[in-house]
Amino acid sequence: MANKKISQLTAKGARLAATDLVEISESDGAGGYVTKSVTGANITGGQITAAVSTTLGTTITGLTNAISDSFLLPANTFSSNCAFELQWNPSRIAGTGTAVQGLVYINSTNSLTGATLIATGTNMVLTGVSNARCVRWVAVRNNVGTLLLTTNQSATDLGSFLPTENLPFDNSVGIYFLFVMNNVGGATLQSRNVGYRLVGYNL
Amino acid sequence: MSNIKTSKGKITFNKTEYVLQNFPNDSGESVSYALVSDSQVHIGTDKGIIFFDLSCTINKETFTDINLFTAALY
Repeated sequence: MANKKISQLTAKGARLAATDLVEISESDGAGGYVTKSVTGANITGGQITAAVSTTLGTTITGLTNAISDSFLLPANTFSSNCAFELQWNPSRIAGTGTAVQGLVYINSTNSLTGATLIATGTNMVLTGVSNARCVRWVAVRNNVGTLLLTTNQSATDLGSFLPTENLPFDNSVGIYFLFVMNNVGGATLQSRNVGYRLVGYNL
Repeated sequence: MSNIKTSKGKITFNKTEYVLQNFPNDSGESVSYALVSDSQVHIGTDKGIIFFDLSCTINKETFTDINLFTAALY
């Protein structure tokens, strides 16, 4: 690295990881500096941005629950004791019928069969295009998550709600997050998930 | 095709054993299952609410009716 400009170094090409090291000059308080390293976790305050959507989900059409979008949370992103906030954005696109919902499941494979329900989004009853931002806080202790009752049809967990306290969440293996659209209320209903974000902390 | 094996209040799927138990539905009622569509169902277990559909067999038997499929789990 000697005699090289920063612009001449090989680009990491990825987000800062918790274990990455960055060189700093720490003030000695007397006008001088001491060269030290800090970790990526030091810089972010321990916050882990595990996933952010970069594309729009697949459009799902009527009378079924089906996966619109998904991502894989890599193994060991979170420890057995962690907390994270999940946001997702279901969108009702077109069609007539009763409500559309955006649901979230987790599974060891990118498949809905055998998946565990983690959240049920708010009922979306407006016809035409309508979007919702849904959010859940999940507290994980010893690989078991506590969160808003997973069947509760709600955009937010702000308030007083029944909880779910037995959600298995063991990130020693990869976990797929599945964003599923429920169009059961009408054969012509169309919807998709248009965004998600997972941010959390190891405790 | 994935198979669900049943045994006295328990099911086994993908090498994981689940104890069947009730859960509160979206109306707050305690239920053991909730139909999702004509081919899909939510089943309450000790490991959360699990999604199953007619692509699964139960004890190697195939089903075309979600009500019969669900009944065979209990």
